[in-house]
Amino acid sequence: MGALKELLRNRSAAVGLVIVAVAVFVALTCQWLAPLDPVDQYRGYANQAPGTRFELAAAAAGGPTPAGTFWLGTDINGRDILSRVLYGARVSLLVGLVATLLNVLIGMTVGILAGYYGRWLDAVLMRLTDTFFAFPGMLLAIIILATLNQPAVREALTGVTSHIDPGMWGLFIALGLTGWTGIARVIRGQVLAMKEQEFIEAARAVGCGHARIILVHLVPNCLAPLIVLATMQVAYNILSEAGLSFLGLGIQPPDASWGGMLSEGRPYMETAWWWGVFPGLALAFTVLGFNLFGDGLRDVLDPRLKTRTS
Amino acid sequence: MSEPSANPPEDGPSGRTVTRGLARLWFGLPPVLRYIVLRLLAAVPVLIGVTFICFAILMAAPGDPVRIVMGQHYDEDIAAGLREQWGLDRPFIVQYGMFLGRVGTGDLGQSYVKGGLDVAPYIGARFVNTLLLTLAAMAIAIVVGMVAGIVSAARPRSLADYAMMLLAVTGISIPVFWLGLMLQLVFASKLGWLPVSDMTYSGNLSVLWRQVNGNYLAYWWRATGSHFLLPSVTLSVVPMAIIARLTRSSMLEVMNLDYIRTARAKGLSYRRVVLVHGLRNALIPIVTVIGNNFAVLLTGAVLTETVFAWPGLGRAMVQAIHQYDYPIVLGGVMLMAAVFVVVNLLVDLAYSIIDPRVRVG
Repeated sequence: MGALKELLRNRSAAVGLVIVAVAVFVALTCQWLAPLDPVDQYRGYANQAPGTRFELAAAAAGGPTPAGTFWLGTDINGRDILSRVLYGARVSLLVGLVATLLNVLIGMTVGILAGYYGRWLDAVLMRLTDTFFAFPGMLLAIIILATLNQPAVREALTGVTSHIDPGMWGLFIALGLTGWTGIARVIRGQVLAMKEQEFIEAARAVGCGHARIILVHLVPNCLAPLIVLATMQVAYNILSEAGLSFLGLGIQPPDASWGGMLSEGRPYMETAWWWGVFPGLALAFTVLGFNLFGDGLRDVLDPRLKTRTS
Repeated sequence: MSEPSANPPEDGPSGRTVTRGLARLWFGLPPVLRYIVLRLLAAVPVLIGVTFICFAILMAAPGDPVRIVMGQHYDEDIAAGLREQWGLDRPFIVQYGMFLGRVGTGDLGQSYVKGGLDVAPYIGARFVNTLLLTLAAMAIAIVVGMVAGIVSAARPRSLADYAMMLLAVTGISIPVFWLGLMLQLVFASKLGWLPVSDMTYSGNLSVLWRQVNGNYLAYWWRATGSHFLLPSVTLSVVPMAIIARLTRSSMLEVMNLDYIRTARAKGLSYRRVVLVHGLRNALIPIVTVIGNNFAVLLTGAVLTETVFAWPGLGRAMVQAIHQYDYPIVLGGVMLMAAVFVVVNLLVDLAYSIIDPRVRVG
């Protein structure tokens, strides 16, 4: 409990936590928060500046509110930007969290196996990590996504789960497979340092098997750096998702995602600045929240990481 | 190297002499050179791994590049010819082996799409454009980032410190491509101070030369300089923020050490202690992060290049991926991975220059 108190006293962690909490809240409740449907096109209201009043024809009744305000304006297709920005939070957080979960699983497994068993397994796993690390920037994710985005694959993925956009599956896989190298390296270092300590030796002397030593003694002691790295990785994955969607490889329009909106709005920047400004702000704030929270966590949980993660 | 016994015994040196000669040559090399050679050799499996992964993913894709490249003009006979020419009718492993064989001779093949264009010179030229952009961005990032970090560390917990560090954490959080779009909107579209995109002046250069009345500086600015400003500033923001944060924490760590107190006690000025005694010893983690970021920038300028229509390697590769132009994708991935390896090697060599305690080799 001491750590939690200290965390809340840490200013950047507290601010970050608030931003993250707001983002999570929006992502969970966007279907109630959003004033309008994010995909519906309101004919006659294309390209409206923020604050434009609207009244919907009777034909649209039974749907959302018949009259109201486009607080953040509309895009060229007459879609409400505010609703799209709110729904975009769901995509960003879902991709950020699931991809990070995959990163943690892979990174943790590789790091622990390499550090604990050492020898040839260490050599092989670390060369594998180097290989993935040397893969230029987002390119591996781009290549994986381009493969998964083909019609045949998309159809197959849609068959698996009808309510998740197939582009989302692609993002999970592409980002999940690419962001784990940093985690693997830090965890390996941690395990290497711990392996020689007395408590591991004691556990072995008492007759603990490898599995028990790993799961009961090593994993809990890796949690501090892991939590810090994972928080920062969420920020990174959210940014990457936006970048990939911006390149037209992630979530496809008309589904709402921040990166996708930026890509759609880009040609109309001069006439409809609100189309590009608001999703970008939402994105920057969310990422800032995770980074601040991660900074605070690091200062409280594992200050030594400072020189390794910043 | 170890096949000396095949030499004819009568006039050539015997196998053992050759081995011994090689050994003497090897150990006669300066340790730094030996270290470089070993590191480069160790990079070979990494490069093979990178291309193998890339190759496997591309081949696993269900789409048929021939069909896509030919589009509406698809013709079974010509398609079969192309498949044979590009080796696509062979088994996966054979294709990969052929690729490696060609790479060994420095040939990266021909583009599927761009009329049989040679890949190696094409990605080379595109890479130079990316390199120029990256160098400009890195220069901005290092200067601004280090100054901000030093100012912060010199007066920790001051207003300036808080302001800098808030800016820095914003800098690592801001989506680069969105920042680029916003800078474009403000400085190019609305204010009209700078060109929106492209790497060089798009109009007639001789007309421009007459317009600026032979003022070389104005000519340079209009033709190139102004085109570099927005993209390089955009690209510099993330590394700048990272360098600022790291410079600060690294300086603070060093400033607590005994020898700093000694230097102060000798009566040296605070400025001199910070800049000479502190900075030099704080440089090691900073150099690492500069090296890492340089490699990341160089290989990850994809989004910035897309926003500013920069004719760099990243954008070329995104285009190639969309067009199923496998040779360009593979060549580009390999070049970028190789650059990454070389930059990391340079970083490790830089340590030994900054810190004599670190010995390479």
